[in-house]
Amino acid sequence: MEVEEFLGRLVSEGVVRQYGKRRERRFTAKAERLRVAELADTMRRAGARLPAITCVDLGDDFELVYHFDLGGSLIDVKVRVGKAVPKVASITSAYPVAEFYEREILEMFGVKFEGLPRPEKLYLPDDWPEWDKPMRKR
Amino acid sequence: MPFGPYHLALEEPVLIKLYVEGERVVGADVRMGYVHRGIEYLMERKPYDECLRLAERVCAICTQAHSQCFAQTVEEIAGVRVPERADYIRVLIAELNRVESHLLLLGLAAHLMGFDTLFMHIWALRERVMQALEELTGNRVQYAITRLGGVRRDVNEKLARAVRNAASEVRKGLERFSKVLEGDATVLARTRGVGTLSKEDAVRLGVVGPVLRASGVEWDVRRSDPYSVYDELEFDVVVRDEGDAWARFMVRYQETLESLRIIEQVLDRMPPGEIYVEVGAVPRGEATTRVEAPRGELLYYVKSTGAPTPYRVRIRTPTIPNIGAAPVLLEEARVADVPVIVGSLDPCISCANRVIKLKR
Repeated sequence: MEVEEFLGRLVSEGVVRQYGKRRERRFTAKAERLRVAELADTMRRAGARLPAITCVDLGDDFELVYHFDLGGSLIDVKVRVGKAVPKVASITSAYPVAEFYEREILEMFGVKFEGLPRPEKLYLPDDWPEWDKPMRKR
Repeated sequence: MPFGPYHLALEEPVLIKLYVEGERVVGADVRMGYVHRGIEYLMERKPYDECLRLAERVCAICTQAHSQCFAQTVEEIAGVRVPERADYIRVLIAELNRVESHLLLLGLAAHLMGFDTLFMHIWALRERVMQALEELTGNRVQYAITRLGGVRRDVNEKLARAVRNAASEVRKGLERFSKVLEGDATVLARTRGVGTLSKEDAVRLGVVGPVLRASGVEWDVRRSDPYSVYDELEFDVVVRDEGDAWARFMVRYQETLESLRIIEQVLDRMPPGEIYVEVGAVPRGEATTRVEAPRGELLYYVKSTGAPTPYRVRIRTPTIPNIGAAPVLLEEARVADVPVIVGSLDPCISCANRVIKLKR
């Protein structure tokens, strides 16, 4: 119930657009690309952890899924990012752990994170061609 | 100064670039990717049951955690409830896996401290667990006991007795070592006050598992977000406040004893019944689930479009946040302490390396 109240507040503040419940302790929500930094700050202040960020290639768009953990409940917040100019704010200042997640998505999908301190390769070899983003769907 | 990707004191390939002033580490940087096998990429091209076999190959030492986590994610999408007996068998294997994994690390830790006698004694004990796992599943590693909808093999009375015997032997053996771990001069000199991670930093950096719990945070997926039958079992979440390498080893030592407690309860309470149900076609949908792997929180996200293969599988292994904390832990450390500090994180590099494109 607490998580639902919290998500309801986020909707009224406009940080997320809508939310749903998948099952006990599993919630989903949608957020605007331009409000990701605000979302991360709000979650951090609420004491949420960030277990992962997932990138899904949906064809014309990328869907970034920010998996937040609030007291044992997982909240998957989905953010659409256009494929033409894939750009979104980095949340590393609120969550240092996001650095590895964002660097992985950058090299595998080519989504640029503005403000990512070291946008360097993490897994791929240094001579991997810049145009080749291996996890994109063809 | 490079520490890895190939180094005498490292069993797996990772590069930690150390910046040093004399014997003092002033900075560190992590680079991975030396054992990329393209697992997330391959999973988008394989049917679900083959993905399961691939999941348990992400890492040989957390194999049960991976197959269990993948299976329960797919089962959630498919709306399948696993028979209770299968859940108990999964937990039994998972906890034996944790005992095996923690003993592996404790032995390795002794080796890194230069205490090879202890290393050999601990690994001899670990061998008992390996034998029990082989009897139960047919395999020493890569148990392959999980199948979608349940488990592949049942546990009969004879096997249960063999596991009980192994568990009590390991418990007795471990109790012998507690004096060494708590009082031996070598152990204390090499680990007390070494690589200390404060509670604030542990939370800020998002570390998980024994690393988090050794810094005073009570957080375990089995308790905080219970899955399978963990909410019916009694166990303590081991927490220590010291935050140093010693605390990280001691948390694992005590957790091993807790796992043995769980194993005994599972053997006592395992209900009779089926060990699997059929899982038909996986419908459109998505699920995020997690388990407490030996190294901490393991998360799987699966998206299905109803096709025979998953649309996307995301694996976040516990080593990713934990190795990310290495630069903070290593700052101001002595070069001689680097292997013990990195070892105390129990990094599983294979786990952290999953994706690459194999065909051009």
